[in-house]
Amino acid sequence: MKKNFIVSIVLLLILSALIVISFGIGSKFINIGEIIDIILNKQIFSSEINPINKKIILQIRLPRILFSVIAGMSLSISGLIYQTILKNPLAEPFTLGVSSGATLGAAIAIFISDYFLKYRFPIFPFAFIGGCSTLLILSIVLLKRNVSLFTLIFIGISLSYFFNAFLTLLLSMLGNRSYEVLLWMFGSFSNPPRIPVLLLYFLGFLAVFIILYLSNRKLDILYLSDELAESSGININFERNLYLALTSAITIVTVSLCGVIGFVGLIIPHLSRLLFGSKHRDLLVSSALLGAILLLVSDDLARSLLSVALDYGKEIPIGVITSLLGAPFFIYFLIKNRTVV
Amino acid sequence: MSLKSYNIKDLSFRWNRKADYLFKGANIVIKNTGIVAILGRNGSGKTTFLKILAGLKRDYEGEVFLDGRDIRSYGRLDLAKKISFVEQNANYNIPLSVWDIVNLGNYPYSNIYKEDKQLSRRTDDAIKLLELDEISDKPFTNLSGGEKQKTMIARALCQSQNVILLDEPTSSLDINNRVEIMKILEKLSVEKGVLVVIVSHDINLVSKYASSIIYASDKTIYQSDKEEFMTDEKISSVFNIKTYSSVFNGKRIFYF
Repeated sequence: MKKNFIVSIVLLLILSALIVISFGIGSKFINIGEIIDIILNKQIFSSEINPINKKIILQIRLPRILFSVIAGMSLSISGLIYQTILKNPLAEPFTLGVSSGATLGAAIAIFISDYFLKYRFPIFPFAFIGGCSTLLILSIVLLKRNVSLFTLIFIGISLSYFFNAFLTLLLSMLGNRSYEVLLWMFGSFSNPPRIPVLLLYFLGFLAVFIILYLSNRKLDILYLSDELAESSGININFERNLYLALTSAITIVTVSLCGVIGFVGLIIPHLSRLLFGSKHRDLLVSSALLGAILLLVSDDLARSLLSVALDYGKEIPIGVITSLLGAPFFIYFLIKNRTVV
Repeated sequence: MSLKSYNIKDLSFRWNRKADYLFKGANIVIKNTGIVAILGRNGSGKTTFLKILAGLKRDYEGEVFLDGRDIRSYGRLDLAKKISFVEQNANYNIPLSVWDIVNLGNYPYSNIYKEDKQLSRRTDDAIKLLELDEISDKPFTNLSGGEKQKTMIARALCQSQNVILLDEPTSSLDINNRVEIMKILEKLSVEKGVLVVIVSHDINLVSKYASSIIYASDKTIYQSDKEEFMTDEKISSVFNIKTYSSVFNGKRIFYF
């Protein structure tokens, strides 16, 4: 326990350092002293603060960094809880189809804008409604009667296929213009929401995180069979539905804001287990921190790599980087420690 | 050593309104005077009966009183403090250590304000009782079948030392471990006054260790003294099989 506490502090320090470094990444060079001064709003390291630099840091880089950190935390926490509740090591935030619903929503927004309107609809509300309607269908199924976990996963996968069928239809109708939908599907932090929206997003995540953290004993009990959990004094249906709803909600918001970023929600919880064991009190904290670190680093690479190499103006989709970076790392860990799942 | 008891009145159960009754009109009193064993053929409703006792199945007809109070009137946590359950076949994997699993039994007593120390002591006590001290840091996944079963019993004891219900606690174990588990249960029952109820298929083990019998037969559930039940005629009629028996050390042993 003490060891885990220290490692968590180390992870937190790494994340903080990475955040500061991330402020320095971008097309304009700003030295680190000036960055710290701008963030702290004081003059300690630099003699003067360039107002343009200040604008770049606070209005361009800050939202983007916050965005990737919160998204990383949200997706990995969702993945962790999905894996625990569905009792399936392969579960991830998108297993039950909320991301497919959101993607379809986004595609509809782009489709309507392109075909019928001269101006572009904002994607967020459409994606959000798409995700929520998936969650609604799932809740109707869940509340109606006792469904087994397998049934739930099957329903989720069927919903994914169903939505993907519509999505494919829309993509084929959009033709060349489907590129925009595809790009959205890969995920990106290049259009961060404004700071107040990010704050709301963060508060939402924090609320979910605190509820889960306070429930860490119950989450551990969910490792047992349903009957044992029930006989331990837990209302298993209620708890299960509550946690699924909370984590699905933050997944929907995340996907609606930045698209579908794969892999984080799948591997980060496993990586946390390898490092910290399987108690949720440790897993929740470490997954959040590791998820934030992975997406922050991936986004740093996304916005620096291509501009350095090609000066091409477009960024590598973030999902490409998380997988390229994460997969080999994860496979290495799997081979090194055989007892994972 | 307080007296714990079940008082079951006119208990009937069927899976749904159209189905036949699995059992009907059972009247049974269970007291903590030694291990109580539930016997019967497959599908006769043993496990269902045990789950009703555990408060896990609530859609029965009739009444079940635990210490004079209707079992359905207990709150979840109150019931968990009274009854703990060990399910059949603990051969699944839980990615926690032995100590952490036993500690899960503390859930009904925990709250966010409570200091963990008090709860840890309960866990340590349960570990000591089952003599799991040496393996308490081991991951559950690496344990043998017997050790797993003992861990699950320790978890149950950590949760409640009033009533412990076990569904076929020895079914997947070797002879060595079967005897060990039964001795542990006997000790709990006799020394600690725990009300121990097991479902079992091992008639000879029951004959040796149990003190009273509940058996499911002819679509109902009966209660019997052990001596009364452990005869060739009775066993033959309940299990529909020809048996022979002899007496060894005062306990009857059956051959099939």
